Amino acid sequence: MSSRKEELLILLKKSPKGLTAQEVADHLNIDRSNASRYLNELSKENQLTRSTGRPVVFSLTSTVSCNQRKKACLSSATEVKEVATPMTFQYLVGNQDSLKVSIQQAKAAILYPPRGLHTLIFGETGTGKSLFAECMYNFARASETISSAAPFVVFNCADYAQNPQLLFGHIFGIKKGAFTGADQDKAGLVAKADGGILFLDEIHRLPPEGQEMLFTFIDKGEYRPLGESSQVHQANVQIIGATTETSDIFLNTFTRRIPMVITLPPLKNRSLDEKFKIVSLFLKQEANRLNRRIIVERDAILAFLLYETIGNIGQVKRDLKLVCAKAFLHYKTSQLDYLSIQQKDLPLNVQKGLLKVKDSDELMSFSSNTSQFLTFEPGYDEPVWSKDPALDMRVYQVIDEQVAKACHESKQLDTLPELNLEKLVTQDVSNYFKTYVTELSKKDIHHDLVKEDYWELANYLLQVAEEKLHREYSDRLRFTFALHLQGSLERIKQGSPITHPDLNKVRRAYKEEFQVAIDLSTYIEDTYHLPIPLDEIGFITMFLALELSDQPDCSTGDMVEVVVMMHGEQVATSMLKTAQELLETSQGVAFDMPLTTDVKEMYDQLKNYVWTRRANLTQGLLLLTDMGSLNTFGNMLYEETGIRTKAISMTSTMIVLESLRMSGMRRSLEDIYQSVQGAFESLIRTELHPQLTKPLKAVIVACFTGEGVAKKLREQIQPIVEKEGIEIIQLQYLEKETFHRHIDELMVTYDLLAIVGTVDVHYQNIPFFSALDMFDSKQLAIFGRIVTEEVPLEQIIEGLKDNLPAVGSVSTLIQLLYQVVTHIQQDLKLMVDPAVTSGILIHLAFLVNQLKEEPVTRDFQNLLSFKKQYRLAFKIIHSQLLLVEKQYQVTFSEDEIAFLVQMFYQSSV
Amino acid sequence: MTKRTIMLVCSAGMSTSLLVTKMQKEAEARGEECDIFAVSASDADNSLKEKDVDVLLLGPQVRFMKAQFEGKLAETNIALGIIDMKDYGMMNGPKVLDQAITLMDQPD
Repeated sequence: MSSRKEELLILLKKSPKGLTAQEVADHLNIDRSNASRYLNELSKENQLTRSTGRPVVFSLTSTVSCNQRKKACLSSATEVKEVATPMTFQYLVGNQDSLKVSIQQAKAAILYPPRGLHTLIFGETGTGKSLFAECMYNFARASETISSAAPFVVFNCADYAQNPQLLFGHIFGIKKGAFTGADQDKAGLVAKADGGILFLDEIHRLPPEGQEMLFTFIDKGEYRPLGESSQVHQANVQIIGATTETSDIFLNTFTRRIPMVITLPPLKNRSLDEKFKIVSLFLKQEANRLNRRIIVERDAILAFLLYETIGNIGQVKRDLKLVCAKAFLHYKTSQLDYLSIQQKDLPLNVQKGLLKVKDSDELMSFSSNTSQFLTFEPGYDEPVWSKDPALDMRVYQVIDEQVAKACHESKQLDTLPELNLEKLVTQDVSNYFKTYVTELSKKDIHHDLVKEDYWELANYLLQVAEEKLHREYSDRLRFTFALHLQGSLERIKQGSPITHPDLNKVRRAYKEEFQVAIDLSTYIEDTYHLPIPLDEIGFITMFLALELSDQPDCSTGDMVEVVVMMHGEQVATSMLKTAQELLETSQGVAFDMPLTTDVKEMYDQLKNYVWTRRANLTQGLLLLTDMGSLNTFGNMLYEETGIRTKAISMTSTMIVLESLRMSGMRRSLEDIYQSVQGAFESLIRTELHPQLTKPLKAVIVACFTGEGVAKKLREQIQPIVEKEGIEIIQLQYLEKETFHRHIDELMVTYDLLAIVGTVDVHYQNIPFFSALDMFDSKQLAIFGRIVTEEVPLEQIIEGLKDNLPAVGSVSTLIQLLYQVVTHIQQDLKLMVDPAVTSGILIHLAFLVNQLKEEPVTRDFQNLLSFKKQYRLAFKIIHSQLLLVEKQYQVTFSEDEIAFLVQMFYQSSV
Repeated sequence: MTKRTIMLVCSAGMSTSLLVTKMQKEAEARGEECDIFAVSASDADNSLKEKDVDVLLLGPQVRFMKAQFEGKLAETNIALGIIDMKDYGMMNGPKVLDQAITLMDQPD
């Protein structure tokens, strides 16, 4: 693009209302016809829009394509608007409220005859003292107290604080010969400000001599420059001093001499409304200067309104600038065509503002009236405060340059500025590897699954490695290694690639092992006549270096900590107590939050608790709260203590029960979170959108490669599922989280009937079958029944509709009972025929209905002895039924539970 | 055609009673004379004594009782079956009636 057109675009950017060709020609000092030609070309390129009607006004097209926008951004980012709408009182946020009195005082100080009153502005750092002084100056000009050409001289006394002599000289001037090197007269600031205003910031830093002289000047309008002994100088200057100092000594000296004292309120004393205006104003300014739309998450704004600042508005602006810079960076490296700011992007101290949400009643109107996101559009005429440090746009330039440089160096834009990505990748790899091996070895896949020659190979290789590395490998490792070799070599045979995600790191970290792995690979190459790629050597290295420390079995060791945190005097405690009593457990902790308690205090309490107990919280922490706002605690806890935390809001006794129960079963944090969240979400969801259309059914076969074993399994089950129109989906199982995510995605489209795989997968209550099961005729038959016989819940609901008058929504009940029945099976470690499961489900549905209508008692024969025999089962089933009891206000008698125990146990396969 | 007696047995006799209603409706519509009723597992023995039952159908959740009933019914002409899960799940009266009739008509 020609530089003229660039210029023209920049010009138009400053003129959001658009310009005519003549105006453009005048501005750029070019011929009108030329201007018109450029404008037309640009509008053909879709960068400009022509107005309809005459004269034609050209303005920037708002929907410029992303690329063009980003290119244009570089120039606009460096371009600071120079158009000066002078900053006056009317633009100050709070001019009718918190600043009203201060402004009245200031106007009085300016207008006071004959030439105004000297003024002292008090205020904490960042409350806007300099800006306020500038407003006073502009008011003085506007009110014609001083001429419009009158000077406004600004000086910060801290600048020369180390050298009182120089400071004095700077303010009052230096007489030639005053000291060595002072070879000519030098006018001071007082002289420069003659006829105008001298603003002395941090006036308390003025040394005693300076103060003395200043007071003389204030009293008499006379002063002596440094080194001047005879002649007295005169100047007509209004002094405005600013200070953060509130000590008595200072006050006494200064306020005695300076008649007008104006105090600016700290940010915390300002209303939320004003804070919101301040934040919005800044964001608008940034949007304007970057000429980009900025979209901000509501919670992010809230945080900015509420967080504690030491530096008041100044700090808010700095923090906002930082956040905008981050957003800008993201914008430059992503496909977004706007800057996006989310709560999670904020610095931690800002995020902490959300803790105070409860405190502010005014906030309610703000949070209820606005949507989830606020948009700040560029293009309006802003008043500019000339000294505003936020005007500095260098940070964006730096980002621009960095991104451009990085782009140049490598084409992979995505990975560049995200420094943490590397860290993340590293973590992923080692995590995956740990999971891989532990889970592999836990699975009692029979040795038959590994071909004899791979066994021999693995044993031989490990023997060599043991000799070279002087260590011993466990049987567990032998087995997993053999399995791994089998998989890898089969892959290599087929010509499929093997990729190690972080080869270099492995090579660096395990030099010795890597060396041995190379030797081993040579042996493999010679024996099998297969080329062993470097990536596979990386994997072998990891096996050799692996310290398979005996990890605690999941039935012992730490549990997930359940923390209940509720508003109200005793709500959390009593809720937890109910759940504990029902489950006969002492697990869990309650934090009561009386409505008078400061949210921040609560957070600190919680944090202290977590911190002192962190050694026992290896399994993470589940935070159950009654309000979504408290869920922000989760993020912060994790960041500040490193304890993995998940938070669930809208907690009810049922959720507490369920969480304690699962934690007691030593389920993992993610598992509990998913399950609890999922269970209660699905209750709501299904009620709102009853899903009566038949979803696609599928069975998942999973193995580490998603190819080898999975393929075999597929062949095995194909005949069973084919005729039922059930799909088989092959999945790769590398890392639990990723695998779970895949499952979640699949569940949108599919009704997943079962998972068959080499690694135990217990997720989302989907029945699991091991690879071995598929080669066992009895197990295979069960599998067949499960995938083909299960009656969809929708049909059961349909069948029972209108026949259970006492329970309300049949759908809700059945969904709940389905959870209950599934959990009972899991907890009892029983696999019950699906036909029986549905039968029990229906039985329970009728039972609940009857208990609600008119409780009848049925006796179970030999209840006591039966109970003795199945004590644990009684407990497990009862604790599951608690959810139903709570929700439907019914009680299951021991006899009824006994019948259930019988049904489950005597029907298990 | 003689009157037939169909007895459904489940744990408490509650869930099957809905099924009974649906089966009766169907039988009426077909013009078949049937006595269909549901009992709980514990009342099953009494009912067997009191009534001249032709067929006994077990709810799927009490299929574990099948062996027990097979013993009791060994010396009788009473047919025994487990209600098909799909029909049970959907409370499909007509189909369960079909199942009962098929069982009765089968030679022992």
